[in-house]
Formats: sequence, structure tokens, C-alpha cells
Amino acid sequence: MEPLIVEILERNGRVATRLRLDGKRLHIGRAYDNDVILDDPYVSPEHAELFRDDEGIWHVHDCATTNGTRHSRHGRLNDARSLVSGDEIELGRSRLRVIFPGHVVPPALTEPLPPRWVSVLDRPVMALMALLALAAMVAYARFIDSREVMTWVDLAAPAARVIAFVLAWGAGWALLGWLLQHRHSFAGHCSALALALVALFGLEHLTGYVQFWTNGERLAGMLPYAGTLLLGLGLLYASLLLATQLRRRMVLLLTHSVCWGLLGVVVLGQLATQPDFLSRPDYATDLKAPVLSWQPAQPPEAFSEAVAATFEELERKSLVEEQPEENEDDAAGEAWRLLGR
Amino acid sequence: MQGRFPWFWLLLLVAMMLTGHGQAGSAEILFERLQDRVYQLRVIDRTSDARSSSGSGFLVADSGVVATNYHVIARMVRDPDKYRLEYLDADNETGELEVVAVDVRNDLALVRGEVSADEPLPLREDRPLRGAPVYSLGNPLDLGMSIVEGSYNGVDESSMYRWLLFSGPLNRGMSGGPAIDSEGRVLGVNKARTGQSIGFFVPVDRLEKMLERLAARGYEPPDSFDAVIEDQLKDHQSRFMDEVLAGDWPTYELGPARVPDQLAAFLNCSGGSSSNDRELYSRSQRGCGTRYSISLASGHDTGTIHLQASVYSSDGMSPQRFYNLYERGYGPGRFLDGEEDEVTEFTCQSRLIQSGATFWKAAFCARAYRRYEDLYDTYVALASVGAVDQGVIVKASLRGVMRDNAERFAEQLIETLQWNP
Repeated sequence: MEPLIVEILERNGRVATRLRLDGKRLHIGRAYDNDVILDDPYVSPEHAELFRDDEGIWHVHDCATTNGTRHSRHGRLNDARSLVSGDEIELGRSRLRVIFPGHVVPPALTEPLPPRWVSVLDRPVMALMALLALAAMVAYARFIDSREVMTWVDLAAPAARVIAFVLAWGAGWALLGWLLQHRHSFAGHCSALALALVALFGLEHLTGYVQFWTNGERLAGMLPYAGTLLLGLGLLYASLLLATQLRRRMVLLLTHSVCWGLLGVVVLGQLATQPDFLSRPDYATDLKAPVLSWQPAQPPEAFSEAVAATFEELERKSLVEEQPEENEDDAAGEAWRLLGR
Repeated sequence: MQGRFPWFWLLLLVAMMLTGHGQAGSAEILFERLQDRVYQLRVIDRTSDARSSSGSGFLVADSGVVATNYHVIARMVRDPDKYRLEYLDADNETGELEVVAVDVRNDLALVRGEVSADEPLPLREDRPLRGAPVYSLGNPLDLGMSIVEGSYNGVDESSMYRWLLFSGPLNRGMSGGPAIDSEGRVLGVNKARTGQSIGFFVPVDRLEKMLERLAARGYEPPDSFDAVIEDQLKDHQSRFMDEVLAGDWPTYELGPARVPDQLAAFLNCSGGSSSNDRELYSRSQRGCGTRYSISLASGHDTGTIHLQASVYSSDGMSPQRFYNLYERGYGPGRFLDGEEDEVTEFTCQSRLIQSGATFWKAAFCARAYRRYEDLYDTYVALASVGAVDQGVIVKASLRGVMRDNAERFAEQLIETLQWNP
């Protein structure tokens, strides 16, 4: 004989308890001799009965209770009603669902896997390589920044500090991932940050060269901002996908809002702290070694042209500066005259 | 020490006066004779009625014309709505003064007012002998009119201004007071001090020229002091830039570089090299510059030339490492401060140029004066970027020059500079 499955539901519809019951007759109520015991003050000690007739069909009937029993399809029960799999019954303030063992369930959902490049990051080999690259980069940065003879210890100390930071970062995200989805992805978080830092260093160097070659074009000044934004987007996207179960669209939204927001704060902060008046000359001060045989150089006359161009630009600026002031004065004067009338 | 034994110092002073110079008597007589024609000048803020700056002055012509330094009354000239000028004489009488002439190049000004004295101090045409006693009058640190004794030490040939040198203690507040010989004739105007008791006087012949021009104008102030100052600055820059741009520049061998040196007689050059045993590079420098500037207002100095060359040599550094160090030396120099009311911001242009086999990174920057048309501060920075282990950086600044002079200077600089590693 087939057993019957009774699910006790929470208010929000989730299953609180699932019971697998054998027998032809099952009693439901608050008393302890029932098959299904409900801890609900509005449920009578002997509240309802489920029974199977000779043809094997299950029925429910209310045992003349104070608050009655409701059937999801038939409403309040006055006499016995037949049940089909999935029917719900309300007793007092409790809800039960009756399921027959043959009830069809939908197939499993496919688990949302992070994109391939994020999964690649999560490989321990990848993390090891990224950390080694970062250590080498930090040591190199320290090396080219120094003027004295450097020992291995001098170079290893800053590298070790940065590696320790990356490991702490990875551990933080790993803890979050472990709490949220039983998967730490420690290697993935470490390699994501390490690679982002390596790329940032590369970007800084590239910007120096671009500034040097383009003679400090404004576009070259945008490069660090654009690059840092891209790296920030990538880092946060990978970290969120590895650590949380959020859907990709949600992760993208979150990543973009955080990164653009941070960029906005940084740019606004720079605008706010920018001095009103800069008394020192502000020119492209990058000098780069001629490592490539190619240099985008111009003939010496270009310098005389630059000198002339500087004076012309200065003249243009002074014209621009004078013009609006006069107009403002006029406008203000006009407004005063109007007010005077 | 001085606070604890004031009597000791006073006694020492008295003893020195008793045993010392026999001319102490003549200073007394001079002071007595001249003090009624020497004034303290005060620039006063009209709104708060507080004193903003003070100096000294003396009567030089009839109708109450008093001579002083331009820097004493600069604020008043530049912002007459905000400040007024008054004098305080030996009898503690005060009265209003108006500015009637300025000479910013020589730091002189003539002011006029109703003063009680009528006999101007006599001016001395010739220069005294070196070592001759000279007396300087003024009101140091607001402590009351004083006379200081010292000696004349010739002309300062190291600057284009050719001030007279005085050995004696000048103090703040004495600016604009007269420097007189033992017969009471004026030979200069107190201007500045430096080091231990070295003072500078503006030679009196420049005051005489100003007086002549003022008399020709009928002792009336010009319509616009800004226009007068602008003309003086333009005249000044054309004079010193003509001297700088005349002929080829001498060069100085600085490692593998030949850098311009001593562009004109009035520049002071010095150099040095630094190498540290622990550091993997060495740097040698050579710099030339003017020693004094024209101070138009607080925060606006002009009329200067500075040139600085540095050669960096690597001692086994990798190219990346060396250039990381080298590019730090290419940043802007320090002698270019300025204020927003006086100058615009710098506008700069950079180029990477190739001259022969040498690559140069070159920057040119200029800013305009807001009050005076067609005058600029300019700045040139040049760095050789052809060699991986050494380089030369040259920075030059000109303050208060016109466009054509700045352009010629930049061209001559890049033509003269040589780099042969």
C-alpha cells in the first residue's frame, strides 16, 4: 500500500515539515495521539481525519470542530471530500498539503555557473601564478624607484606586504562565499585582485609612455581613469559571481553602480580639492628611456612653434576671460535698472 | 643672557660710546639738524584704520615733495581706494600724503603733502671714497627716528641695479630714509639689507632724474600709475634682455653637456656636484640667476632671470630605473610663485624634438600679467632623452618680459645647448 505524504506549510508557503505516513486512516489534531500533531491553539485536539476508501481514494472530513476545516478547492468541509495530490487543507491557522508518492516534480534547474574566465581564476595554479606575478611586479616597482644598491630583502619586504594584503582580501571574500553558498573560491578571489593590481601597474607605466609620446595630451590623462574603472568593474564582477548566488544581471547592475559611483566620488573629490589657482607651470613631466628605437620626435622648429602657440593660447584665454565678465556686468546692470523702475 | 643682565649690556654700550669713535659727536649734530625733514610714512587701511605697512621718507624738493622707496607705498599705489598714506614728523605731527611719482626699477617713489619743514635735504652729486663714514636715518621697527653710523663701500657690481653698498645695521622700517654723508648731503635712499650689517642704498642720481621729470610735469601725479609702471617694466625688460640676447652666450662644460653660462654680466653663477657613495648616480649642477627682483607687490616679484642645468649620470642603474629618477628632476622649478590677482595661470606646450642625433623633451610655459599688458613670466624646461644612462636637464625662467624677447631667449637656449655623450 502506498504511503501518503503530508506537508505542514509555513505562512509563506514553504514546507516546514514533511511526513511520510502509512495506514488507511490518519488522524490530525492537537492531541498527542494523532498521526499529525499540530501545535496550533485554534486546532481542536481531534480535528480532522484522512482515510482511504476501498477503491484507494483518499478523503478528508472534519470531526465537528470549533473552527472547522477548509479544503483548497471545496471550501469549508461539512462532509467528507475526496483529495487529489497537491490539495491543501486549512485547520485553525495551520495549513497542510497532501501529496501522493507518484506526484510529478519538475526536472532540476541547471546551477548558474560563473563565466569561463571567472572559473579559470578560481584554479589554484592560476592564483599561484597571479601572486607570483604580483610579487615580481611589486619588487620591480620598488627596484626602479630606488637609487641605492638593493638587496633581496629590500625587494621582498614590500612584495610580502602586498601578498599578505591580497591573501587577507581573498580570505574575506572566501568567508562571505562560504556563508552564502558553501563555496569559498579563495583562489579565485586572490587571483582576481592580484591580476587587477598587476594590470594597474602596467597601466600606470603605459600612461607614462603615452604622456611622454603625446606630450601630455588631455586624452592621455583620461587613460588611468578609464583603465582603473575597467579593472574595478572586472574585479567586482568576478568577486560577486564567485561569492554570491546573485543573478548575473543583478551582479552587473551592482558592479556598475558601485564602480561608477566610486569614480564619481573620486572625480568630484578631485574637483573640490583642486586649487583655484595654480602658480606653478603644469606640463608633462614624464621622461622615458629610449628603449624602443622609435621616438615620435619632431624637428627643432617644432619648439619655436610651441612657443608661439603658447602665447597665442594665452591670448585666446585672456579674450575668453574678459568677454563673459563684461556681459555679466551688463546683465547685472540691466537687472538693477529694471529693479530700480 | 641679555634678558638677565640688561645692566651689563647697557654699561658695555656706554663704555663703547665713551672710548670708541670720535665721530659720535657728528652723528648727534647731524641728527639734530636733519630730523625735522625725515618722516615716518604709514600706509593705512581706510576701512579698519589700521596701519598696513610703514617706512621712512625725507624732504627732497619744495612744495612738500618727500622721497621714499616704492616698496613702502606699493600697496597704496596699487589699491588707492583701500589705503591712504600719512606721515609722522619729529614733532609727532601727522598729515596726509599723495603719491606723485614712482620708479619701480629703482624702488623709488615721490609723495607730496603739507609738511611743516620747507628746506629740502641737499643732494650730493659725486660718490664718496670707499670707507667714508655714512649715516642712515629712519624709523626702525617703529621705535622712533634713529640715526645709524656705518661706512660707504662702493657700488654693487654684481647686479644690474648697481646699488650703493653700506656697512652698517639697517633695519625694517628704515626703508626710504636718507643715507647722508658727514656734511648732511644725501647720497642715497635706504633700500634693503642682507647678511650681517650689509645695507643697500639707491644712488641719489636716480632720485634727481625723477625729480626733474616731476618738476617738468608740474608736480602733478600721472593719470594712471599702472600705465607708468607698465612702461617702466617694459623699458627695464628691453634693457636687460638686450644685454642677455646680445651675441653668443658663453658655455660651461658640465659633464658631456655644454650649457649656457653667465648670459650677462649682471647674473651670478654657481655650481656644484653631489654624489653619494650609497647612491647609484651622480648629479652636477650649474646655475645662473639675478640676485634681486623688482617687488611690485607682496606676492608679485618680477625682473628676474634664472637658468639651471643639471647633468645626471647613472652608475650601473638599468635604463628604467635611471629614467624614473631622472624624470623627477624635470618638474617645475621653485622660483615662480605668483598670485591670482597679479598673473594668469601658466599655459604650457611640450614637444619631443630631434636635433642632430640628440632627442630633447622640451616644455615652454608662459603666463600673462593681469595689470600690465604684453608682459609675461616664461619658463623653459629641456631634457635630453637620447641616452639610457645619462642626461642633462636645463630649466630657465624669465619674469616680466615681452613676447619677442621670450621667443628669442628660448631659441637661443636650444641652439646653445649641446649634448655629446
